[in-house]
Amino acid sequence: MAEQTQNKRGERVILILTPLFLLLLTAGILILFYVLAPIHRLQNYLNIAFMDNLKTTAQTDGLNIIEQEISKDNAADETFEEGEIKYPTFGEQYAMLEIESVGIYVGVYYGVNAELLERGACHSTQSAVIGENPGNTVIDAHVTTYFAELKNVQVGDQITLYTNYGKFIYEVTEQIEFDKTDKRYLAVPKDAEYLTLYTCKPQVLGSPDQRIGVRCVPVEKHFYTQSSQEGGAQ
Amino acid sequence: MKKASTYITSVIFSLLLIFLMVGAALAGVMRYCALDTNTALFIVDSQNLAERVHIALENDFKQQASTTGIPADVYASAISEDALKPIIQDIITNGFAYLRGDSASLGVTPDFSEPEASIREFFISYAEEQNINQNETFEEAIRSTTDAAESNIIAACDVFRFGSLHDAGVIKKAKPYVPWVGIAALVLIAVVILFMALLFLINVHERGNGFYWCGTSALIASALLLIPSVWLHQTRWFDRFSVKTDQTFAAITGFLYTNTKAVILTAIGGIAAAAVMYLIFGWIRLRKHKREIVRNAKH
Repeated sequence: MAEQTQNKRGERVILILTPLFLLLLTAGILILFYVLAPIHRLQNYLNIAFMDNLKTTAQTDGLNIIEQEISKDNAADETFEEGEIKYPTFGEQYAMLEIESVGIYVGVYYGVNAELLERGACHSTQSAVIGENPGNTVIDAHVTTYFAELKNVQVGDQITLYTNYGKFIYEVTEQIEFDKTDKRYLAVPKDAEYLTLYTCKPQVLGSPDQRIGVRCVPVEKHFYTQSSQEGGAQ
Repeated sequence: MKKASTYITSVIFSLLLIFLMVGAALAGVMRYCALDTNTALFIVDSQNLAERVHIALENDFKQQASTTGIPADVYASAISEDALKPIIQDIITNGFAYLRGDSASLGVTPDFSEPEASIREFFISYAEEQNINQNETFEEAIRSTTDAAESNIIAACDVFRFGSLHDAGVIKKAKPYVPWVGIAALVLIAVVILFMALLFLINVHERGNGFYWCGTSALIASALLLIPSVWLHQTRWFDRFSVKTDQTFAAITGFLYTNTKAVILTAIGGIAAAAVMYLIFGWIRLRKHKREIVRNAKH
């Protein structure tokens, strides 16, 4: 009788512990799967689709626009031909664009949408960041506002981009005109560095299909911070 | 649990049953919720997508007014929320049909006669005021403006971005697998039933233990589904979604939260089923215990 009671107690303990044991086994298998399975590609897609720094609250749902002061003069005495780039986030005003010949001086926002185009020039996120080599930095703005005078920029004119990581001077090599569906001036070059500015071709009424602008090449680069992998001061 | 061999076999089958139950639940939610057009159509109303699209289009046309010279009123007067809602619903219905292979293309051809008439009226009135010759170039300008407006409207109404997904090749990659989701759900449910039957068979000498093992598997499988789903829902994790266009953000996050709720409800159903199985097991054990007491008393 006592043996029967002891057996029953043992059974009850097993009954209670078995679900915990199964839970531990399941957790172990899942951890093993996470470690061994090639899910890093899925993680990359998830990271792109759901970025941590884009988490918004109900009150700030939507674009986070960051304005900042970009100085034309760097306090440091020393600049470098190659250096560190500080990559911007979508909606960040990260540069000032100056074209002295036609009096353009406008903030450059990273990303292109209607709201940002109202505030300044917009840098296409599918193009190279300012200073990247090789690459094609593509910036556009409305023809009725910030790039109204772009059509008057001539070959040989200088364009300066000020960022908080460097100052970059370009020279216009070509005036361009293309259809809105033509991507050749927006393409990524394999071994060259360009700056491409464009806007809509003005017309009296309606949505213009043509774009006009300029293609430029870099002539001077003044990075404020040396890249940790590169050597040599200017 | 008298025999060790029975216990170990039951543990193995129960473990497999846990993963089969999770798979069946997720496949079922995917087939009957995520890939169901009605779920996406429900989002149109619950997230007021027609209103959001209307506001987005109004803003777009206001901003374009400075470049096109066409006042936003020309478009706004011709596209109301009531006119946009069926376009949104058509695009969603066709998008899901295309994904399932029921439709040959993603394109929809909504009725744009009102915006076209409004644009034409504005152009003609402007041309008459400015003495502009209404020639072939003028007609071309009207056509191009109308086409651009229609493209804008369709793009804004494509709240789930079927067009962008198609251009990026995502839909092409996903299409072959969509019909298999339903089959996978049915197969997994059948295998779950089979494994439950096997657990009863393994424990045929210990009446009621089949309910215990199946209940345990259901409980753990439900916990595996419930805990992460509740965490995703409570932390509003999907609000990190990187496309911040109002209507697309609302549509996609609304869709994801709806499906997360479906998983939560499925898990709660699983826990309820587990509780019922445990109760049956307890009742059978209690009856057995009472019979033993009566038997022992007689001897």
